[in-house]
Amino acid sequence: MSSVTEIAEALEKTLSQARGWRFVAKSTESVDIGVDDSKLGGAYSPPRSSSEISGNVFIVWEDGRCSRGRVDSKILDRLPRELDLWRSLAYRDDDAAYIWDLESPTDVKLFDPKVAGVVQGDPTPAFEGIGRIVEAARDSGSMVVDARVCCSAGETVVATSNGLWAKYSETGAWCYWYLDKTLGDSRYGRTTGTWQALDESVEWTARIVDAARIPASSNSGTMRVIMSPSVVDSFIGHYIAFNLSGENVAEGRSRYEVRQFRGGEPALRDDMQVALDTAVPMGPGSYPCTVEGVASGRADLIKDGRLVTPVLNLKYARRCNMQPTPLPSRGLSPGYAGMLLRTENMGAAESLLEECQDALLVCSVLGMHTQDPVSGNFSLAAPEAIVVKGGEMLGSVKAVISGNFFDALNSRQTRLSLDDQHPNPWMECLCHVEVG
Amino acid sequence: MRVGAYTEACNRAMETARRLGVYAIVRIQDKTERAVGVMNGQTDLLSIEELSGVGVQIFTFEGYSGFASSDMITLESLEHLVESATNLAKASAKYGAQPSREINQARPLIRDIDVPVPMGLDSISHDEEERLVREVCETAMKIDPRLAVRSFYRIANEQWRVVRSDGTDTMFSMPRSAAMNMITARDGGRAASANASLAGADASIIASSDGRSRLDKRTRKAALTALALLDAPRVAAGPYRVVIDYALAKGLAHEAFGHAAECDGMETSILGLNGKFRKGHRVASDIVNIVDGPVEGDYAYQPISANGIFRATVDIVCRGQLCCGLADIFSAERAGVPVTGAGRAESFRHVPVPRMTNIRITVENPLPIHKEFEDVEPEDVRDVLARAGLLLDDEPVLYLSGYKGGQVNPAKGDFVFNCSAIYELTHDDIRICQPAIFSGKVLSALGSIIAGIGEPMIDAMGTCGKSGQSVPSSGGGNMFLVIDGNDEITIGGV
Repeated sequence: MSSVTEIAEALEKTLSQARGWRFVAKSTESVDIGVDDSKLGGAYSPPRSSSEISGNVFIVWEDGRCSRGRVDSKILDRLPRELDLWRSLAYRDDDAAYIWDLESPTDVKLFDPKVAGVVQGDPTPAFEGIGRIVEAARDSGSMVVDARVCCSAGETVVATSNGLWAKYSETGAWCYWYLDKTLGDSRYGRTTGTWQALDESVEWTARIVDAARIPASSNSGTMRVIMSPSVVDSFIGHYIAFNLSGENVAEGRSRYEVRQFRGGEPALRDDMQVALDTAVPMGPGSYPCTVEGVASGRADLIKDGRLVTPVLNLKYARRCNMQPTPLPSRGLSPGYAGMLLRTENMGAAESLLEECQDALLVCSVLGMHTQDPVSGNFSLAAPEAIVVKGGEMLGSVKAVISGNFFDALNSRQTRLSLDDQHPNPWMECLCHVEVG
Repeated sequence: MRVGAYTEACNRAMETARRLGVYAIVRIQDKTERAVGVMNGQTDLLSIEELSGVGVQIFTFEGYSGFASSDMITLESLEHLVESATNLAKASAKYGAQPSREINQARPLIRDIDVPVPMGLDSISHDEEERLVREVCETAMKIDPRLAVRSFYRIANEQWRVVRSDGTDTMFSMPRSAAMNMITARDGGRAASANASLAGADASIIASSDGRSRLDKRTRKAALTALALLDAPRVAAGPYRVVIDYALAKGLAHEAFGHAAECDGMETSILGLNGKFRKGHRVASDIVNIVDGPVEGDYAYQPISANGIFRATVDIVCRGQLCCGLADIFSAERAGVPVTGAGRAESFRHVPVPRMTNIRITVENPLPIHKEFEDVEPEDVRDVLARAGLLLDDEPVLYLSGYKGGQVNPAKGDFVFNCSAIYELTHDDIRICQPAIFSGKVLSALGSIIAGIGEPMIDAMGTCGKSGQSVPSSGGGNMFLVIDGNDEITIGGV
């Protein structure tokens, strides 16, 4: 297989005919170990390895039209023909047709040699990691465990016709567990520590699963709902990320318009902050520069409840006449990609439950992807909502929770609390609850 | 077929497997896909993707399995993949991995199926595709100035080759196409969205007069729905008698039932008992049938499984009783059902699991309706109900229109799906309301089907997300299904 550097050098040479260009070429090797129904391996979950080269090319031709293409491991064999193909696919998109001026990539650490060793050498630590997760789940009383441990290592080259040549190595590590087909959790990182020392977290999941086994009762009506960080993260991804997408803002598909960002209009409660930080050392969503060559870093998207900027790639930055921002990494949930929701004076997560007199704890919902992100309205099934009274988990009810996420983030009654395990917070807010 | 070019590489894999004393399944995927994206009349995507790669799954003599994949299909890479997968399988044995020997029972198959389509990838140029998609987008935008429209079209020819150590060597093609308009209406600080789509096997969905007419009619309906939703109230939460269209019926069949019939999960599925499929168990009234199987010309067509076994058409429910599950070679015996060739995978990188292709839920002796689906208005649905005595006197019947996705927990029997809009139907009035989720217990929903309206339509398009993969799915049912009110099925809302 050709190396990423070989491919990048060949691309640079070939693309020199064009007025402007940029590309990203990335090699990835990975190892993935899974447990289904408490069984390691088997026909559906065999231990897996993969290797692949991926990436994309963006070209601006002399006539100002532009083309997009793909990079894979066979690109060197196809390059002469591929250039003709790319030229044949050119289209006019004046806002997109430019290359970012040379900017130094951010120096951010992304590589753990231990993870690379698991991927490229001995997978034993991954087998041991999943073994520990399964053991912790069983020790906590779980009967059926699904779990995975995955790790990856690779090299990336991002280059532009304006002189950028950013080459970096990175590793990735990910694990998840799902207990008794009821509830799970996951962790993303870049070190082997991602799947180590998870006993307490797995035990916490098991405690909720235990509570979910006990039928409880609760009335329908407006009541306090405590959402777990993974549920909050899915709300952020579905509602906030969608409406802060530069493309959606510029094209009239977001609830917000460009003028509202320019005017700093209020969107959320005045102590709410939404930021995107893609330069956290060893952060799973971190990188030195975007695929367009914009340096990684931190951008305030909503500050003190007021709109600051959408998430803008080069095309939509030009369309909106604003500066480009870092972009969240694809394939990660918003929090792990660096999109963070914060308020001033966030309490500790433990106190949310301990101080709770009467609420429903919702750690998973069905149907988030079916909701209309623009309106902010939600109506979601929570088949195992936990009834919490006096700080105690009493059992579960089947509920449908509904409301409006943006109204909740505007309400003085909404509280956020952070733990040290998740990038985004717990959230306590008022919802309409229909108990089935 | 393009995948015919990889014979030597497959032979090398088989030789390596023999040398190592393991059983190998080689899965080669070769896909060509073109796409066009237009946003508010401006092209923002023209692409051709040529993707190929290979996944190798091996089974040691003891039954331990390992998997390795690469986007390189060469003699050397195949040899390396068999070795890597074997090393992983042997390593897993040390940690107590589950052996699986069922593959030894599979019968060899040598068969090529290359489905011809009248308007395949080469029938019209990329320029012409772009012109047509721009036209589709502009037609939608002209409906009302308050609309933002994202139009997307893609056409693909995907080919697979599956070769096994027992001599199996199969090649098959899966042509497909899809067009979609995502429509957002905005006015006075309010916004609402609705989608219109059409799927098939070739470019006729945008390039034939019939396909274009259907897409435009669906688009108009979705646009008017989005506009009407700007001022629409919410429906009060609770159980109702509901009418769902065939796209929602596909959602019900797929999410609420089909996943539970997939035999890899039979040990925990609500349709299993002690790991066995509960054949003969009644799950619906005797007017209800559920069938899954490949349909030529369909968006989710797959004639042979990713394990190299013929895909059967399966009667899952016959006249209300469980009949057969969806099984692959690895799950059939344990679940007590025949092998139906149900294994499908997103790509060469993924391990196949049993899953649906085209699933449809139909009701015998449906109520007649004499209009094309695209021309049916809520008034028509109400009138059919009224004529059949199914409209209620003391509460509205809710007509749920347009499928917006769903989710299910097959082990618990909980399902949820959402629609684009809800119409409250009464004798005197029809009122559009905001969409709300339709959630409840799988068996309660099936058991509450009391009637169908119109003949079956089975081209509703979707994507199956099981096991973290994204695989084309489709299906449908009668043009409309009527589901009686049930305390275990709730329309959400406030």
